[in-house]
Amino acid sequence: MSDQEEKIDNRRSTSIANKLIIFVVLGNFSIAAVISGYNLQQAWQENLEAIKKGFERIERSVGATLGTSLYTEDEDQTNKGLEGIVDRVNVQAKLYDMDGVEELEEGKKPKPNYVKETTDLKKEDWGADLQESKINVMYKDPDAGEDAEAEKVGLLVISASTKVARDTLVKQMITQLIIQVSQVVATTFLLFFVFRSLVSRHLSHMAGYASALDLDDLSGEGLILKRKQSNTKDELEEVVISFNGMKDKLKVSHEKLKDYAENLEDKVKEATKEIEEEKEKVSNLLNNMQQAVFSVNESLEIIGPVSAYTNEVFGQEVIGENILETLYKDVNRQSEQFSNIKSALFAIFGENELQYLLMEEHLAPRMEYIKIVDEKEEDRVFSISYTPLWDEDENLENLMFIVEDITEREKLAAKVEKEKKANQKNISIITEMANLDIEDISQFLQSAPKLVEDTMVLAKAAPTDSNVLTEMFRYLHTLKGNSRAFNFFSISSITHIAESHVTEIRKSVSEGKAISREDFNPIISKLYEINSEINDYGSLAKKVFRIENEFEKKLVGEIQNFTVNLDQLISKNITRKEHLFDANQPGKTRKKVFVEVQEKDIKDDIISVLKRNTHSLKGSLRSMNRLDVSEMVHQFEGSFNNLEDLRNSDLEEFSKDFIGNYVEIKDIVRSIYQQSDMNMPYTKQCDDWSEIFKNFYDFSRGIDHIFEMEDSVIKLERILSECRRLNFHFLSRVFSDIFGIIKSGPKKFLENKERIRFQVRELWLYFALTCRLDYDNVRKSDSDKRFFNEMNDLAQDIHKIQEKIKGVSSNSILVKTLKRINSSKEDPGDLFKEAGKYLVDDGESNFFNYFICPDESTLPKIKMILADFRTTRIVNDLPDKTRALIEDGDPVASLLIKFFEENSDYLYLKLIDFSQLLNGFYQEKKDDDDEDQEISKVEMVPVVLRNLKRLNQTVIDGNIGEIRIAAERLTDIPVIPSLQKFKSMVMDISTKLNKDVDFIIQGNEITLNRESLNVLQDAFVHLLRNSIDHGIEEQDARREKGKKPQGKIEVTCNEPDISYVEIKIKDDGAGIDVDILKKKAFEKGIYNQDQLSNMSDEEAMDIIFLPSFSQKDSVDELSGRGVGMDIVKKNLEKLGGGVSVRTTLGKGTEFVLTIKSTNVA
Amino acid sequence: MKVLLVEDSKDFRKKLKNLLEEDYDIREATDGLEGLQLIRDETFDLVITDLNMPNLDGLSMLQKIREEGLEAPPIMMVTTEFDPELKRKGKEVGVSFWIVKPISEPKFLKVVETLLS
Repeated sequence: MSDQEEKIDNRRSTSIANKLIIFVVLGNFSIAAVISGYNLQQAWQENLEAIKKGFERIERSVGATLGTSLYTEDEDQTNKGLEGIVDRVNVQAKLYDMDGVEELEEGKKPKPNYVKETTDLKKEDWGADLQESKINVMYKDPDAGEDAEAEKVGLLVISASTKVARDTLVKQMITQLIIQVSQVVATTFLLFFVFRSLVSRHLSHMAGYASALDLDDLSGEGLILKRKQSNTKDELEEVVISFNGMKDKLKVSHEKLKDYAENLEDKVKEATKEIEEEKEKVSNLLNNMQQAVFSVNESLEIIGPVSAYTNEVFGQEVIGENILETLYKDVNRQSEQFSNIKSALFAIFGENELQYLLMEEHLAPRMEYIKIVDEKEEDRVFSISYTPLWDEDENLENLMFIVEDITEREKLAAKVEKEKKANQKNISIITEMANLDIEDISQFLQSAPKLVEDTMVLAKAAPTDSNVLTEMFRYLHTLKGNSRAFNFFSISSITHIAESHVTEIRKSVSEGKAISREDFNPIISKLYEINSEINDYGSLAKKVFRIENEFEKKLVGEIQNFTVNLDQLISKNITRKEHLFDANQPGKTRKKVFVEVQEKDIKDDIISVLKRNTHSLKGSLRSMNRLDVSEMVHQFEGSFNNLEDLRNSDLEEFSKDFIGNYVEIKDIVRSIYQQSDMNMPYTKQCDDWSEIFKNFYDFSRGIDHIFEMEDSVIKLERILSECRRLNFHFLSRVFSDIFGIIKSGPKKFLENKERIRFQVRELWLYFALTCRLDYDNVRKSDSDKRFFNEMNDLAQDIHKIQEKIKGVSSNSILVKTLKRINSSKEDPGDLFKEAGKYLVDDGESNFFNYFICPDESTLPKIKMILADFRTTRIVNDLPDKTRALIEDGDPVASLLIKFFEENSDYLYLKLIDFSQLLNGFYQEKKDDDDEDQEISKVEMVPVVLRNLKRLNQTVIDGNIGEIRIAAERLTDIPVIPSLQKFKSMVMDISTKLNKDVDFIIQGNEITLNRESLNVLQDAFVHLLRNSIDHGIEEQDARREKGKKPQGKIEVTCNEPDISYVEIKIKDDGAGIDVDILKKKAFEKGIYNQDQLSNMSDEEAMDIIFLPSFSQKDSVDELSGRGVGMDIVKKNLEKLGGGVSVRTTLGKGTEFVLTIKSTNVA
Repeated sequence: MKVLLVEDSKDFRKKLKNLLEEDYDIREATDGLEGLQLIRDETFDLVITDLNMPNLDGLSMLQKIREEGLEAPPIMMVTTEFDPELKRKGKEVGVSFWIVKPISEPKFLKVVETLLS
């Protein structure tokens, strides 16, 4: 507040009423005085008049009588006459006789002869104001005629007193004064009270209100007069209204002021900040402007002054330098651009503006420049603007350059552009996904990467075998179908391209043309593209639909996979001794391993695979939002340049940028993986293990004759797919490597025989270790314990195992495997012989102990060694305790050492895999409630309600087993709506094939759990495509057969029993020719002629479900029916269901799928 | 306004002609000799000549004009490459402006316009 406002008014406060009263009283008095004065004056005059008239009357009436009495000297009569005079008025009458008159005339004061006066007058009443009248008293002798003259006989002096008049006046004055005073007093009081009640009170109320106003809070009620409200407005009311108006205005402005005052500080701060920021910006701009400003003279030399940043921009001193050797140094000297710049610069100096105008265009506005920073080359981009400087003759004297480093800006612009594109893409993806079920998306995102990966494995082996190519085709075809079914068009279109590449290769193969590895590159690159598309979809789905778990899993899997690839590539081609590059290692060791790397010829294609793989890894990490790691991967990528020229690179740089990042990335990815859901303990199912083990054993034994045995490839593929199914990373990886080599044909196989031997050895080690872990596990059961004790004794004569193994019931992997071998009429003891070939070094004979060890302290040992291996792999660096174990020849220790020895390509995987194996065998399996997340959707409500009803019914009349089944079905999903989406797929495919197909879904509302539904949907992809492709004939063909041109596929859903559902897919196509089927089976060597002729038609139909049949070429007529059928069958059987087929040649085919409708195993 | 184009490349000559013929009266010559002849016979307001031409190159043509004491209009010399030596020679024989191919049409037209206005 200002000083003025704060000034306090110290004056005494008074009321306007007081002033008013003073004015009223004074006014009253003055008016009254004037009026009374006038009245008194009038009264006085009247009195004087009256006296005068009295005198006149006396003169007229008294004279004669008095004259006579006086003449006669009749005293009585004279006195009487005088009394008569004084009676009438307040007078004094003095009568002089002639003697007295003479004396009077002489100026004497003679005593009157007679004196009479009004009796009630006192002596002192006769004052100065005496009015005198002198009357001559005359006497006329009555006898003397009328004409006789009267004779003066005396003088009557009458004196009148004004006392009476004065008294009257005084009385009057007093009365008037009293009246006046009382009137004034009364008026005063009246005025005072009236004024106070009408005005003054309100005024002081107003004053009080106004002074009590809190300027900080004007929100209260306005001023109201304390009087009766009336309909009229007087001045006070007007004042109040205007006061309140003023107050409101004040309130508003005060609030503004207050707000302003309150925020002032913030505002000031804000403004200051803005200014600071602005300043900062400007100064940043100035600091980072990196503008070089300088001029060039006619000799094209840079002349001073140059701006401060000039040297920084160019990374060198420039004054005196030739501009062609600085700014334009990196322009190709042979280029037209350089020639033009040079010409323009030569032409303009000393010339006028027109010449400059003609040349201006040739001066480059943007220039790439290699800047040397800390002895390293950096690519920069400059923008250049030119300003000619004229001399007094208006000829060009110097040319001013403003050069700005716009490298970052251009990068930023490119990035923004890229982001813009990405956003546009995201929008289209979201639109695509908006029409889908969350479950569908997540299902797709789960299955698609697997298909891509399977295809990738095949493509990388660059197969020439038409079967393998067909398989690739099939995978891609499925992927395309799925992505179309889910409307993921960008995926389906890329897949289509990849698929057509495969088709081309297949064609070339069938025409006998040579196929090279390069031919697969486009496919591989498309597969990477597909993968990144799937990732895009996935990361968006994650954001939009919160499909967290599945997608995350997929990403983790992918990251894991890329890292495994990376690990393999590097260990195979660059070094597997990365731990020796550690700065803590002795310099000699480090130098030695580095020289080893330097001497390696790292081929360009290896580097490019490495780059691609690393790039994908980076992409996946980004999708997962692990930007910290992706940044590290990015740096790692940056170090690949060194790989091209290792001989000239530096050990420290290599250790830090390449090896350092590589080791760290592996560690982080491993921990990401181990923390994820993917890191599930391995199965305890010894059936699975023993099947794989047995198959592997067969493979190991037949390895030298692998191309002579028809089914060995198939067997290997089966192992591989089984390992994949069970998520055995290490096994699937090694098997897929081997598989890749074998698929490439015998020549390749021979070339890589050593490698395969090495890998088979690794596998034996792995199985031996697995059996060891398992032994520790099963040893708890008595029957196993007994058997293993006997096995120990059998070590001396392994062939006795065959006898002992009969009748043993066991849950151990080893025993089950041995029993499998036994049941295929082979000697189980041979397993150990075969193992010995790979595991046992010369002279050793205790290979048996690799599988069975009497020592009971295996687990802690394994755990300890494994933990040690995580930190080092050099035996000498292991802690003493671990080393002691090894030196003691502990079988477990030596197994582990062998398994984890340096020269393996799979160390990273082994560590992961083995810890999972440990977890699987030694940890109690946690109850996982994965299903929880599956169903949470509103659409599910009716289904749940129906199932609840069913549950209710079952509880009333069912048994406990049925109740459980019904309860489990509460979370099921309706089947028919889930199948509706295949309509578009059917449309799509049939239109492509120039067929017309009506797709009908009918039947009861059945429900399935998510897992079963997924399998069912996969089956549908295969069955529908086969039906349209191979079942339904083309329109013309149908007409010829007398059928409707439009084909029909009918899907009927039923639930014959509470425990299973039945889905029939019936087409009215050509049917399957059993004879052709049999013929094909014979040609393919699946069955011999005898078997086939004994086969019923029904049995023969099952041929289409055989894997060996399915694999065959799919595009030609009937056999195509087999595409994917084995997978369909296998998956359905896994769910406790199955598939059967009925066909009538010419009429159509019907597939009947059954699926157990419960989760009950 | 008369402009003489001396240029052996038909395409480039045509191009220049297209650019200029709307506003100016164009004469064409295919080499220095032809150009020289035209300059002897007629008066031009501007000569645009190529540097490298058969028979008589641009600079030599100007040299002749000078030797013969002919009245020389402003000369624009077109070249693909330029260096200080050319500049010196050009000065000697009276080249007013140098043009380096490829020409920037708007700027070229602007300069011609300024010269002839």
